[in-house]
Amino acid sequence: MLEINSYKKPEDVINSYLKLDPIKYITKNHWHMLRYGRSPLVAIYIPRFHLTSELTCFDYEYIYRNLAVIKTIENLKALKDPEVDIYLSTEKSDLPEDFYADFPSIIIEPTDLNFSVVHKGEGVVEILFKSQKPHILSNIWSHEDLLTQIYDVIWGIINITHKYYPVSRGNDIIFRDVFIRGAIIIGVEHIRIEPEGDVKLDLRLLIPPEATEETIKSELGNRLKSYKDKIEIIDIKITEPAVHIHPDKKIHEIATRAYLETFKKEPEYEWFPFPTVFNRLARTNTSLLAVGPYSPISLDMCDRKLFVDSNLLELFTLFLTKTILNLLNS
Amino acid sequence: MRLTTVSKPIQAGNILIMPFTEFSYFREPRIIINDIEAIPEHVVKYDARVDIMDPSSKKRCFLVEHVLGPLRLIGITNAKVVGTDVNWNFMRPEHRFAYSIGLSPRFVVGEEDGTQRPALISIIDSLDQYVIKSECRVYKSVSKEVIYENMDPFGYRGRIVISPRDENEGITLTVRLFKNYIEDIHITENGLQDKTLLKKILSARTPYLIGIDSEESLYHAIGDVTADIIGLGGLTDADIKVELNFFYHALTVGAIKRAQFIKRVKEC
Repeated sequence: MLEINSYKKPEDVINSYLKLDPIKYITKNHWHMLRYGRSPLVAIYIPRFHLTSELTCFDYEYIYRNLAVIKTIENLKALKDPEVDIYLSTEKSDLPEDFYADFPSIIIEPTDLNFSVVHKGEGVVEILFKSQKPHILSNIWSHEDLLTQIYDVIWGIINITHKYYPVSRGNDIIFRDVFIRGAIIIGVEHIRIEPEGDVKLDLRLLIPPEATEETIKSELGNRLKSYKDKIEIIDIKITEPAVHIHPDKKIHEIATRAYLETFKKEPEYEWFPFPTVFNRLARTNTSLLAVGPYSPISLDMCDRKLFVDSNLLELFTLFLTKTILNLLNS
Repeated sequence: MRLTTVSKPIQAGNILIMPFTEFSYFREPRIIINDIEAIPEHVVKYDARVDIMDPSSKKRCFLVEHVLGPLRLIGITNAKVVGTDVNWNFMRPEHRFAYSIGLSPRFVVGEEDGTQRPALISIIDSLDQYVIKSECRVYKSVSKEVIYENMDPFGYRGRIVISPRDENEGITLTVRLFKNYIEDIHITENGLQDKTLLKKILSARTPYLIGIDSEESLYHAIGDVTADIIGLGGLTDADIKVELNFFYHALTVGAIKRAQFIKRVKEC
């Protein structure tokens, strides 16, 4: 049974949002300039605001973020006609990157109230599995052996272990995440078994800043020590570099003050675990901050009802409203 | 008690402990880490760890409890400390935080394995060669009893009572961490005299890596309580009784932030 406070369906959340008539830039345009005669002063991005037809675990993960933005727009609209852009993202290609290059921009992500100015990057690796046998399915014994070896190698690659930290599978998800957030995370994209030919593994990586193709190669080498005679790394590519914005701009100063006033403590900084629109904006804009309420993700979250913590939502909304208003008035 | 510093720089794991020369200015126990005074007012995070921040420069120092507790347990009340780590370990949340705000790894002064300060074990049998007692005789305690209780995010209740003591009575600690407890640990001008216990504390890992119920976690927690109450508070004489919960720095630092102090300088 899925239920999110008064919202019974995901489209209720989306409809609430749309009813507020935010200024949306779904395609590249200069509508704001045409409407107001000048550029907007603040932009808010809500990446991956998917128009889903039914509620999924994905929506659960982002529901706090979406509700917070709805409430913030309500707040702002009650005050004045804000020169704030709400960027509703449906697809990556929608991003009007150049148009927003110089604006203070807030990217709303489930950061658990942390400030995030570092987003991890992505990469891909192609690995050749050196098998001595043809992979014909008619020899089922040989094929089964091959699959067993592939299975072993894959687990060797994706397993994370550490001599001090509880990062391996089976550990508590919260404590595990404290550490693996900074690690090179490796997952499998494709396994290609050509009849009577090569076996190739395509891997996808999440990479921290400072990681190079060399450090990735070294990490893969460490994880695959015991398989070094069986595999060969063919190609490593960083497809989306990790980014780091130094938080010394007006937006960071204003957000810090708003955070102190709202939560009565200094904000904490944490990385975002995968690339988002933040990575692309950071190529041309350094007045960026990613922040948002927490994501109620857990292993069993799809099996239970989710009730939103109204107090937390109110506080985050207050913080966001203060930050935007102070940016508009600065 | 007499304020005590180191006679020469000591490299202890990922920190360098250096002599303190400003006794006539500070006139009380005071540890300065990466140019930030470790005092309750400078603490900006206190839950699973303790961070301090200079209000002017906004520079932040992470995991200071693993400096403050060990130093006081070996009898050092005053020192200047700098972190010496140069390599990033992004598995550590403190390193990711420091990197985010443009600080170097040396601002993280806790060891990566979560221990208190095992590098000091090698000098505790010959401390005379490393410490120097100043002419400053100081008394600092709480001016009235501090009783503080809180609830951690998991619903465990914590309670701490800090009671004033007279001059030269030293510090007495009673610590309970879930099922394990230890009573009447005595810390004087010369630190903790039970060397067996001292070694266990200095090498104990944090409960957040090994589990809250282990005996080693209790030893670690004794170091943390020493850091948060005696280290940050700069106390010379007090009785401390504490029943810790999970993120117990919220309890201990919460208490010392609420404390009012009495201080007398005899000679300096």
